Amino acid sequence: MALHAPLLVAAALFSIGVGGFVARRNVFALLMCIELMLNAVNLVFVTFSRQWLSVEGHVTVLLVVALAAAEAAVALAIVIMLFRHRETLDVDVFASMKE
Amino acid sequence: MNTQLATYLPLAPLALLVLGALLALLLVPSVRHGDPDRTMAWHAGMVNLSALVLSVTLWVRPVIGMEPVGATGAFRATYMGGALVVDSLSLLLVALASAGALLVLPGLMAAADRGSFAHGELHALLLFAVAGSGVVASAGDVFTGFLGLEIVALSVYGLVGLDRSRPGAHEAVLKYLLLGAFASAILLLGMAFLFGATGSLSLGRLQAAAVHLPPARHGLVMLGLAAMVAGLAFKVAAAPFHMWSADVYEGAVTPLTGFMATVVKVTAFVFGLRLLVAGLAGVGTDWQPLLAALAAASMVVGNLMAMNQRKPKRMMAFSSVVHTGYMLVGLAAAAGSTGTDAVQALVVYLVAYLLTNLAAFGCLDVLERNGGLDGAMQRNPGLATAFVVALLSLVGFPMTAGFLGKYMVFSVAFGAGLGWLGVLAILSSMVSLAYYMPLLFRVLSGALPSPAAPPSLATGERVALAVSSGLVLVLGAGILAVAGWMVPGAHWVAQWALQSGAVLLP
Amino acid sequence: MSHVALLAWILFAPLAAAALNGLLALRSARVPVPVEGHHLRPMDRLAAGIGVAGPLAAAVAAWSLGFAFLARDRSLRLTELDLGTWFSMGQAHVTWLFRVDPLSLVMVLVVTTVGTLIHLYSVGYMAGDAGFPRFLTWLNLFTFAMLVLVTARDLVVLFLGWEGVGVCSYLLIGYWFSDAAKAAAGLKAFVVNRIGDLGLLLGMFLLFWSMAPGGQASLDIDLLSAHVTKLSVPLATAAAVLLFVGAMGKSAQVPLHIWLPDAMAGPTPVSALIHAATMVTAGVYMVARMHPLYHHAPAALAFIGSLGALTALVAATVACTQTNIKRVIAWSTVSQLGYMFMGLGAGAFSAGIYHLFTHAFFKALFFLSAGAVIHALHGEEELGRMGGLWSKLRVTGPAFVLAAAANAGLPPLSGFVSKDAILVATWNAHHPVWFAVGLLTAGLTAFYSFRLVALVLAGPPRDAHLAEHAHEAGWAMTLPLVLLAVGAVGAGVLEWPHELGGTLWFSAWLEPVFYPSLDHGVHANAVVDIILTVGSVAVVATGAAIGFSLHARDGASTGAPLTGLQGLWATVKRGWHVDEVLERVVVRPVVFSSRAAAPFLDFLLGWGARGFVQGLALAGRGLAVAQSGLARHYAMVMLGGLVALVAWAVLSGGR
Repeated sequence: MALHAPLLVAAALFSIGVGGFVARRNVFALLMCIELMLNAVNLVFVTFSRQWLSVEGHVTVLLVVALAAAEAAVALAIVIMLFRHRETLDVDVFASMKE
Repeated sequence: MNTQLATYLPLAPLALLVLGALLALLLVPSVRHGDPDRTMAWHAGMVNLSALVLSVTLWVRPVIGMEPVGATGAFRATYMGGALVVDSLSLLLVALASAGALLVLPGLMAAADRGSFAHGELHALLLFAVAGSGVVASAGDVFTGFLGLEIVALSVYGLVGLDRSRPGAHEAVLKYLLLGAFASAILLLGMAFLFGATGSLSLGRLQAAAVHLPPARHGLVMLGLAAMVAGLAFKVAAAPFHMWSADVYEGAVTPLTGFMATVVKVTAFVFGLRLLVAGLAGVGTDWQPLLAALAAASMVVGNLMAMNQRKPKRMMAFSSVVHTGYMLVGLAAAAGSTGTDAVQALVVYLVAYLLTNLAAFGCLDVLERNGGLDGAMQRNPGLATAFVVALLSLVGFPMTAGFLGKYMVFSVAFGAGLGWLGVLAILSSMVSLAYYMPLLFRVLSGALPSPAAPPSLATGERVALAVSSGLVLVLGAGILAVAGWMVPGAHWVAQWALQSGAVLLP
Repeated sequence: MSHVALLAWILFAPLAAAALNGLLALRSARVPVPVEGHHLRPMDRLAAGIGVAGPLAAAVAAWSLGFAFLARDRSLRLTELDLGTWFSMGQAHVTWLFRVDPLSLVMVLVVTTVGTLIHLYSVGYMAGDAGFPRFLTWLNLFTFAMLVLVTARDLVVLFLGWEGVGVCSYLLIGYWFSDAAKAAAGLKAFVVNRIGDLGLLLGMFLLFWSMAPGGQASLDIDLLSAHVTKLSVPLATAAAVLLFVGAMGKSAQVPLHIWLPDAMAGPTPVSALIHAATMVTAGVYMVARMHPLYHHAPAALAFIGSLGALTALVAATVACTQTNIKRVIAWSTVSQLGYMFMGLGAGAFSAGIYHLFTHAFFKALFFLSAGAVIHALHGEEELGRMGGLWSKLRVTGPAFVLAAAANAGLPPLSGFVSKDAILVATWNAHHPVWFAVGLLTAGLTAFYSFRLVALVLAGPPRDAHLAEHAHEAGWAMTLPLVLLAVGAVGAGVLEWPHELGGTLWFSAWLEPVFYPSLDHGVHANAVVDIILTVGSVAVVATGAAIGFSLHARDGASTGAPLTGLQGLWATVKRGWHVDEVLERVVVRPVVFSSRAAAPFLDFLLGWGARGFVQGLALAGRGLAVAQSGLARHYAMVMLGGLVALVAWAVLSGGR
């Protein structure tokens, strides 16, 4: 029973992340939305870990945090490169390749 | 040698790749003397080559610790409580990934020279991508596989953005990174649900749990399954999760496009095989329609898009969406069957697809640098021949690897009761002629432009193209009769594929 | 030489020639073409030598094998060349097994003999073309693929040959790539053939999987033939019809015939070799080869015969109205192929194959002599500018007349014998409608054949300038004409009717192959046969007389012979508006009602290639709008996909 609350919070977090990802145009905002989604997943892992009384979920969460950090590192490097190139952080500017 | 230590020998190819990648990171800033580019190239080449040779050797002669599975000659060794597995399938993927890296290496180096970006980072990132493939190959745990996929993805993001002088590179890397991270989050969510339903992410325990699933947990499994399939569909570029692929393929330098279209896609498929065919075999009837729908969508959408492309490279990007559709047909067929036929067919297709597209993208790269496709047969006969072989294989013309793969996959589709999908797949391969044949025509008899100039391509590129297109023919011919000496090329692949299927069965 | 070695020669001599010419083609691209006109560079001479020698060696080997077979007992007339396994995976096991039996040998003889003559002819016809060695490479490669097709013992290997001839045909039709219409014709032929191949492949897979439960999951033709009776009749009928759809594409049967007349855009020797003598007969051969299956599925056989009769009649009417010399002969080919299928449909497999055999000679002769006429007139193909050439063309003229007469079926030429065999067979198989259609077609055939003769050779020239400069071609072109004329006249001896004092040698030759399916009552009643023969000869003679006399007059036009017929004439001339009708009835409403669904409906209804591709392009453009280049839009599409997957999974997973 008690598991419902964290799962609902996770669902809300994930939805906010997805909604923001689709709606926002700033690269940083998009990256933050992805962080939200990942943290929602972490919450799900932790919740289920408690339900099964297993450490596997906890370990997974730590690895996801590490992964998110690695992703952020690569992303920030790319953002710097983009900013130098076009002087903007609006993702909609980068749409020359299509159809 | 100590027996205890010797049991770790099967991990050698993976260990070699990981250590090689780490060593490359150390080498990049430290090599100052002589020709640093050359040193790095040697390092990358040797690591990939050794991994290739080691994995083939281990397949031919299994060592201590590799227990036989079934009667097909397949084997398996498990480590770290089952989190790492070395079996016939993992050795095959390591061999394919390192071979793929070796075959794109000359083209990438040439691109680095033209685009004036550093060789060192290129080699280090490429090695990490291959090492990531190795991790996926040996994943005995869903999360291990996911980590491997992310290692591949992060390295390839870097590779795409490496050539800063290329106009499309910025845009390509941005789209790839953002959408890739988005898809990874969805994949992870699915994994979390799966964990919630079964209490474990280990493939072995998943397998057992999926067979005796309490009805109450079934919904959660389905939710997780759908999210994971969606995430994987992004990785393999299946419609409607394919839209990034054309833009990213176009923006990246062509040899890298070849790497993404082949090694990265094949790696994701191997993960799919382990997750679905081995881990979730118990709910196979549930995921079969999902994959069948994705397959159908990929074939239809890919064909429609490919037909309207003017740039050969974008056309090839959509054509590889269509090929993803064919591979998904094979994966869907594996759901219902208890035998190894479907997995074997899919693995043969993966090998054929990898070789064919490496040859196709490699030739496209060189041809576009040397006066375009028109009349290439008269200017660069050798190169054009390789391209024609690759095109015929993409079409699925008999005597090429592509035909073999299609024949196998389509026939298992009919055998698995997916007749409608088989019909659609045949239909799709007929339609695909509409965009492959004009290319063939341009190469064979297009108008000859300006006076013929000798093609500028490095020896390494020559060798890579000759090897990949040659293997397409060897695999397609099955047995090559040369003066009474039989080379059972296809037979080896068939055998390896068969054993790959055997290790997945519960 | 052993029989197996002869078979190896038959297969690999053309392949070797193709390989050598391919190398020459690569080298010759660097050598400039000397001057305008029909001159051969030294390199071209070498290519010509190799290109003719390959099929010639195969022909010599084929004839040697034929005579060796004659010396043997009937049951021993079989040779197999085993080159090992192609692939063996799962249940699929395919071997490189090539086999020559009396049926295959007939095909091999046609392909190599007629093929050699056409190769020789094209040396004269294509001389001076910049891509001369390239042209010969593809011609040789085509011959090889065709030989693979007719000697394969496994349906998968047969399919390899089937696709090979398709690709070569595509390349040869579009040989002069600079001409957009020609390239489009090549593409049309290719795409229409793919529709047929779809049927063929489905038929193959259906056979494969329906045999699997009995442990006979193989596409080896002999195994299939031996076990085909185990199939249920509906299943066998489905497989037989699907295979026939493949034959419809390759052999230009209504409504998949639309590509053949357009394929005449290619060089004339190509039309003669591929689109008259060999490739288009592949469908007939395949059906004959699978005769146990068709024997087991009488409904499929009836379908084949009916469609053949329809094709024969429709194409013959269209041929009467054409004004382009090559298109007349092309439509005539479609009509004759329909005749062959009508014979097969009546269960007279050997009569159908015999018509294939004689047709290869007289139709090749027809095409090549037409080519010589075109050559003489510097590329003019319109009948409206021909006429009065009899005195100019001393070799081509008689050859043309002979070809027309054989095509019309005038006795004692070969066309008469084979056509008569089919007509008699339809009557004896109790298909009076097919017989009537066949008789009517025979009359029309005679009409358009002699209309052509009159318009090309007789009367005063319609274009005095062209006629004045007309000249006979060189020996490389006239020698094949003479030799083919001998075949067109003499091939009738092989099946000269009993009633006229002959022996049915050809059907006796094929008897070991068709024995189980042979209808022993074909020549049941000699009196009836004689009446039928006399009747058909009368019809043919009348048709020929009308066709000639109407068009040999001064000022005869290429249009309708009677003013009252003009409306009908125009309709027929457009091929009964099949292309347009398909577009109006099928395509436009569909496009209007649902743009996205159009391509699939088009495909199902087997509509023409261009409209099909355009329809697909339209749907593709719709999809391209979604490919906006904006990452956010891509994410939205992905999200849609995710929602669909989750909905499906959760809804269907409720159990």
